[in-house]
Amino acid sequence: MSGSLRITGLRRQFGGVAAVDGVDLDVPSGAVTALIGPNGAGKTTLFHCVTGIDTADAGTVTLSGKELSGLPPHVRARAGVAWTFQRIELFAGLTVTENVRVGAENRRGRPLLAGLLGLPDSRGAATRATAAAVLERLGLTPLADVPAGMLPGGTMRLVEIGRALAAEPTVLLLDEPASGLDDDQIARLAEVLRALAADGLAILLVEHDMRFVTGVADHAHLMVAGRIELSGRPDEVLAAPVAREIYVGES
Amino acid sequence: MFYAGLALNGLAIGCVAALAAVGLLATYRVTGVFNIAFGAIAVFCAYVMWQCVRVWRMPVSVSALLVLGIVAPGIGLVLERLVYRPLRRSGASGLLVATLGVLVLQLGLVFLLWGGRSYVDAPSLLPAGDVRLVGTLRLSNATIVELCVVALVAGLLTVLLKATRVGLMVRAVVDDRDLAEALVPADRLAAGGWAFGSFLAGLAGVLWAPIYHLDPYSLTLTVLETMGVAVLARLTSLPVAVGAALAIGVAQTELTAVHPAERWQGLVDAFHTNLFVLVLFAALMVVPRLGVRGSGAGGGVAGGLGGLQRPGARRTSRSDLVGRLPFGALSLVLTLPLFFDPADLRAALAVPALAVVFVSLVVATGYAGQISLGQAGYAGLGALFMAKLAEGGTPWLVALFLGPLLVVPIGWVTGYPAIHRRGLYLALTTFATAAVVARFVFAQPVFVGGLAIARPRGFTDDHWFYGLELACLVLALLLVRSLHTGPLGRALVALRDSEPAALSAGVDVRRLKVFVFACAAGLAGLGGALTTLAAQAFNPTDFDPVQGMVWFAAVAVWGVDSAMAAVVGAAALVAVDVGTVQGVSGLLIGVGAVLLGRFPGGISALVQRAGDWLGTPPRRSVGERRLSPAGRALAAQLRERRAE
Repeated sequence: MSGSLRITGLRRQFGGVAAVDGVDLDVPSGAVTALIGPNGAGKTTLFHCVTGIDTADAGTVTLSGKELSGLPPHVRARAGVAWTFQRIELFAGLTVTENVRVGAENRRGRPLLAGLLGLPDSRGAATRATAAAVLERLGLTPLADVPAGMLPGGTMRLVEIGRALAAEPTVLLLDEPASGLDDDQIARLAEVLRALAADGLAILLVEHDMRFVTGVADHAHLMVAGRIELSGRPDEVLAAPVAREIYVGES
Repeated sequence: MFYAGLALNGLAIGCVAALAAVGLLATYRVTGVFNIAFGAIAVFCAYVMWQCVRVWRMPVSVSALLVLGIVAPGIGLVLERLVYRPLRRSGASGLLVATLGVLVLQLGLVFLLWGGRSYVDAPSLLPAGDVRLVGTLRLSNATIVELCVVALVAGLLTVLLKATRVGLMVRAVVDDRDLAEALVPADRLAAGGWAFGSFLAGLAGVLWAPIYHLDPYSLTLTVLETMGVAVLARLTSLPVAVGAALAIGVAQTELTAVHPAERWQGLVDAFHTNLFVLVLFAALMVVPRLGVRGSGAGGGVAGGLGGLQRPGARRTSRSDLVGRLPFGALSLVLTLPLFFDPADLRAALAVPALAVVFVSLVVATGYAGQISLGQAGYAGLGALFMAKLAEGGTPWLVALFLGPLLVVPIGWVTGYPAIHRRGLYLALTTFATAAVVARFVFAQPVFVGGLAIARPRGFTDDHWFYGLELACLVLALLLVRSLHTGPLGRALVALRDSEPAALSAGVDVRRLKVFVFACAAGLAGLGGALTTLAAQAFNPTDFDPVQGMVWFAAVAVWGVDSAMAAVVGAAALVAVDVGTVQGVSGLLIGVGAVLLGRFPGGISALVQRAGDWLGTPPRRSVGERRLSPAGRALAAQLRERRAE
């Protein structure tokens, strides 16, 4: 299968502990891939190595064949990797629309001097349209002019996802997107993610809500202690003894 | 033998520096706050001591007991209770501004109470005379006692912190006061730490004053310079700090023996008198991965400016009439000096120039999130470049703008290392830059000697020149405007609110920061050039690094977010300086900065809140006015949910 995002032999060590220990992972376009596993399995570290927030000790990350390893985060973002954070990171001083627009208008660098001299932005109309379309898709249009800092947690998550989508990425990484959302919002999110995948986006998500995972994901990978232990269809993976031990044994 | 003699002299200098460094580090170790005001507290105590002995005729021993036993620890206790305890959650920047505030406040007090006069008859605690070592080598008793004090404090503190229960508790409080509160008497320990830190400051001041002149600035500056030693010790190791201070002291005197060719002598002299500044600068450039308490999760969230800005404050401009009203009023007020009598107009010339510098601070700190104590350096460079260009035949009016433009690349180069630092270290780096520029450029006759300053043709009259200044201020405000509108403005707010999220959106955070920092340097240069033209002379004291700190504190008090508040602040500062005695403005700024933790965002935020309260119809929240009916319903729903 031709993976849109391909991770090979990724390792990240902290002191003597390998948080990510030689992970190979394909995130194909047009599908939702879920990464599950207990806390401390290295899922978020893996994310950080893909986005460039953290630097992997070994291994490569490629996006549609283009090598990303070693690039700083904002360059990866511009190359088509979009991501959200486990702890919500919004621009509290901007409105919902403006938050999303920041995602749209920084895809390509613009000469800083042009901004300083106050030259009109040639892409202004386009980014405004993109932002509006994304808000519509996520059902956020009524809240367009509300300062993002005033929103409740679940809605903040949606705005964060909207900001990621506005960059029109090739691959979308979501770190626990369903946490803090109510049931309506989760249903809406699942619907949106399915639609995005149908449009050809590659989606990788880390999630602890197993109902959500089985409902939305095409593939699931179980990560334990820095390694991918099991891969397959979500229900298959969750039915396997290893996963049952982790998820059922816990409760 | 000659060099050994020099080394012993150097030891005396190093000793004084070591005392300051140990005091700084000890305070930091027991309170978690890097007390920039250490020197100012020392100066204040030394002045009180002088007052007791020379004016009130008290015996030296009684005075010493009073100053070191009551006054100094008392200052610490008061500061802890009134300033630092309320600020404990506001992160590195909030604390930094507070310590700056204490510095400015104490200096203001010294000016107010003693008129800023310097005295040579400070009473000495130390035995006179010296001890003969070998041959002609002599070591003064004062140096010996100081060495003992330094060793004693460093040794005792190390043992106390590492090996005792109290030390463990103190470390817990410094690490995480909120957490420690549940287990140990955190408030009492913190108060004890501050009392001890201030006691050390008082001790340093009292020991110091008789060796040097007792004057408000020298001790404050020396302490600021010895921060290099503290940085070399990574703010932790007391032995490293003592060793480094002594070594630099010795190196400084040994350098006096170096006599190169005539034309390099000036440079060597500059080196040996400013070695501590150089070490501070070099240490900040070279020492990798400097971490500082309080710049982590707590302070780092809001772009590292916790306490300086009102959380979630909106910056994108509101273009309604109400928003423009104060601007109109302000421009009206700014044109008033044109109708003043000549003397008052002359005084008012300082306002637009200072306003441009203040606006540059708003750009650097409010917009790029970079604490900059170094604006004085860039301002001075702008003035200097202008003068040099004019000397080379460029018309003054062209030079006025070309000079500051030349500062932009310098801001770029010096801003680059600065942005890798955060919080305290960033502040120190910018301060060190300004200090190096002040000592190696502004203080060197080679560069500033014989500069003739003339106003541009057609603007020699004060009225016309004031008009030119206003035009420059408008230009600066226009640049600021484009920094908070459009994609660039949004990217900057994004950067301030969440750096990781800005990166994830593709914002080139580093480049943007350096760019804005460089713009701010250029603006400061313009302000400096105007200052020089207004005075029709290049005064190095206008661009003193300590001046940069006062400016920063003033802008923080008025609100780092608001360019308009910066303009008002500049006018107020000049008015207070002209209308009252020296020291009052420092006192006011100091009090404001110290209280900043209680009203984040400064005066502008207070005014804005008052305006919001007066201007908004009752109970309709911010976004609602522009919402569709469906949106209003949703917003109501959200409110309900939040109420639950």
